[in-house]
Amino acid sequence: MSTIKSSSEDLTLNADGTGRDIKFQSNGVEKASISSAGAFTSTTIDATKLTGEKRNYIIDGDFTQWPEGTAATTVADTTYMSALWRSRESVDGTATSERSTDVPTVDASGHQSAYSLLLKCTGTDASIAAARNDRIEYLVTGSDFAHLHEQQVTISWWCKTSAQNSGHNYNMLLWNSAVDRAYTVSFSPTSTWTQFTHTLTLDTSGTWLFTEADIGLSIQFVLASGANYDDLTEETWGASSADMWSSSGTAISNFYDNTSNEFYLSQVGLYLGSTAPTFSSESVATVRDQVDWYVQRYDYNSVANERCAPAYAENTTVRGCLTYRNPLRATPTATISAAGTWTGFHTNGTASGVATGNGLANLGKHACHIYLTGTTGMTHREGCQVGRDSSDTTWIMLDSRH
Amino acid sequence: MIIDTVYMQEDGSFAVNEGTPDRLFVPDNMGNRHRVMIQEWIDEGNTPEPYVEPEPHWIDKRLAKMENGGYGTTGEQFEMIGEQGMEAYQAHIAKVKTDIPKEI
Repeated sequence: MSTIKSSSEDLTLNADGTGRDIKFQSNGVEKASISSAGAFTSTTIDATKLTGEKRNYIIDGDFTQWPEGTAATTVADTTYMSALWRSRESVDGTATSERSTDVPTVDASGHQSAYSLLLKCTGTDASIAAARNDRIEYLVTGSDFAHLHEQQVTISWWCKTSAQNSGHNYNMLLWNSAVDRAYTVSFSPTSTWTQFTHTLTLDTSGTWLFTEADIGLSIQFVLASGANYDDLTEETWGASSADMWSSSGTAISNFYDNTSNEFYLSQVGLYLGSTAPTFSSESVATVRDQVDWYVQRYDYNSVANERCAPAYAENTTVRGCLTYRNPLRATPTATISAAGTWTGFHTNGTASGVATGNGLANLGKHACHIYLTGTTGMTHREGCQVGRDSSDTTWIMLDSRH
Repeated sequence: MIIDTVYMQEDGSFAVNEGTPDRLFVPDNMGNRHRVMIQEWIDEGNTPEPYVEPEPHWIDKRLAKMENGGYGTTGEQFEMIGEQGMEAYQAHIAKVKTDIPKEI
């Protein structure tokens, strides 16, 4: 074997002269070239080794952001669990969702996750009624979905169960915004972390939406479903009336048949093409910004009396302007902690009475009006500040999720 | 969202009590999923509490325009002095003070 080698400085291959290409041959036959314009051409390219489009269209598929909190909470229909995954449920049983540190090993997945999403059955529903179901849902915004429409995609997810429901059959489900087009495939997780991947071509029929205001694609994991929703054919796009599984395929199990049942979900990815790369997440700064487009939570807990906004006193009402750290997708719903956790502050720093009422108004994509009422001690027309009362649990959440 | 009571706000948005100390504020935009839930609540026969304009502070009442019973703008006051004289102006100020007493 002969080797061209340069250990102490760059190695230059120079096809000297205008328009000259660099050629690679084997046994006298050209196998690859780099043209004078810089284009690389090869007779065979190992596509699995390319580092081209590997964008994960699932934001925070690594479950790092939990604005609603990380502790076990009883799930309710349309309530979000982690930042962008929500519960859809109508069963008679109960379940909790929480952040778990049980994650796939690096040896298995090639990625060290910190957290997974964990659902636990806490109350049984032994026989799911025809019109009942339970799902975990992620909504791809229309403008992101536009990059995928009618193209081949691969969905990858890692999941596991408890020993009790190991081997259950659940379904991965795709819907359009109107819920009249659907695709489903069953999968059978076990009590060992397992990766599931599924490649399909996205629907070429029906109505699909592509704007920032729209839901482009709903991705769901169906854990229980009644017979009203069983009219799909597995791995085939079809018309749907909110259908979720196929009774002609693998029968769906019932996550609610035992209070020892658990379902863990981790490292979810949606990629263009026929393969899923080893899961990787964007930097935490990027993920936080991406999630901020949909939901922002402000916990004023870094110092006592932490300030939130400059303000102005109108009698005993303090009115301020809260400017968001990032713009939001749409005008948000805003939630504010109890009035007693807020205080108006004089500009010299002294507090001026705990609020007896509070609110947020003029809700925009960039800022809103925050007000505290009953802040006795303020002088009318006094410049002041809105802030945390002492070391109370003081927070605001802005929600522009679909 | 579990709706207990709904109050209209000055800007047409909704304040929602869910039976907890935290409060939810929802824009009047049917693209917002919580606004849709409020509409469903209304369609079930419920009615939001109307917005109640707060009573203005006495200082703001005195600083209102003349047509609203206040001292008037600086321009209005100059005009009164120039056209009606200082005595009429002083009488106007005294009347406003009487009509809108200082609240302590």
